[in-house]
Amino acid sequence: MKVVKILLGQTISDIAVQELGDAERSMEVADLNGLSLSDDLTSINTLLVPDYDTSKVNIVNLFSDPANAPASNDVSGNTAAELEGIGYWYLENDFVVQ
Amino acid sequence: MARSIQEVFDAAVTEGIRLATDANLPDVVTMFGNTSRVAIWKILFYAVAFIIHALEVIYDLFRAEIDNDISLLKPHSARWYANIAKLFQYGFNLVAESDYYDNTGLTQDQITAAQIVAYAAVVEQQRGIRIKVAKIVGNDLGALASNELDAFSEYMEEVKDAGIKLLITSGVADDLKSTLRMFYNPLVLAADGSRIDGTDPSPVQTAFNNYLKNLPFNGIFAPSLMVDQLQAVDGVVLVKDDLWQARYGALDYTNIDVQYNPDAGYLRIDPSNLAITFIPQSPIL
Repeated sequence: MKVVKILLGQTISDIAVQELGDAERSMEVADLNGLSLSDDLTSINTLLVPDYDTSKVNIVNLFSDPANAPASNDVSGNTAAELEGIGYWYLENDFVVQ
Repeated sequence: MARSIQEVFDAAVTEGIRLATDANLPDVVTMFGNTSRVAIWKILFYAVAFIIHALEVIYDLFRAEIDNDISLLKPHSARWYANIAKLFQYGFNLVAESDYYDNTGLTQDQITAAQIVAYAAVVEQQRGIRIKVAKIVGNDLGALASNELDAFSEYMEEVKDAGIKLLITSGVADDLKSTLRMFYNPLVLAADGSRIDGTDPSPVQTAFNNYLKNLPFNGIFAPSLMVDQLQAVDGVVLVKDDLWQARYGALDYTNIDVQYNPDAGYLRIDPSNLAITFIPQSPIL
């Protein structure tokens, strides 16, 4: 059991892969911290993580360098570009009938 | 129990290939043949498999919570005591502060071998409850050895409800004594009770013992039902029962009037206590 600092853009499954070497244990991490698997971690700094299985030591070592840490959440702040075309335009918003 | 991500993934791939083959979509079948680690279809399937796995884990957690709530709320019935008695594993320690065993890493055969209590019956008494148990010895029932009974008693003390007084017994079978007059058809049976065609040397005694063995554990023994069984044996015309007696432990034999509830939970007869007089009799139609 240890406390792990969350890096920018990391999700619970990222932490599970990084610390336990197994995405399958994501739910375990979420349950341990009283979170849901899809919860946003931006307002949380640390997570409690169980001990990793010794058979996964190679994967854990690979991710032990923060430069390799997985971070799959999109933090760019960009939302998808609005779609254009007659099927997506709104009356009074994109065009006006006169 | 939640399946692993790989199991869900494999199941989805198998089903996908089957559907694509059935619908005659060779392109899709070819797609499944793409073994690249980063093939798009694999990534998509993995993502879905991950979600299904997570959902199954949530169901497991939910179930565990509900089970826990129920176990805390429900007052235990006599049936529960009988069930929990049969879950006893000889030579294993309970998980601390709980009423179950940690069986990870054990095969079902190992667990079954450790569960020595084959039969359990619970009888309510004025003070507490009495639990009668028996194990399988050879192909018959038998009493638990004293070590086994000590371990079992300790186990029951751990798992029982607070405030319940338990009396745990595992005795050898109650003894039955019987004297019968057997009116037999001399065309089928011989004067010693054996079948004339030589297929069975003692069909009556076999039926007698089978009836005792097939009684439910802690079941009621009724002589008139036994007589019915004996009269169903081929070659037996009539049965007159002159004596039914039973005893448990080293007590004296007492007469059985209409029915008898074996103290040990089961009843056996020593061949020397079964006296049968065979009398020839024409079949009564």
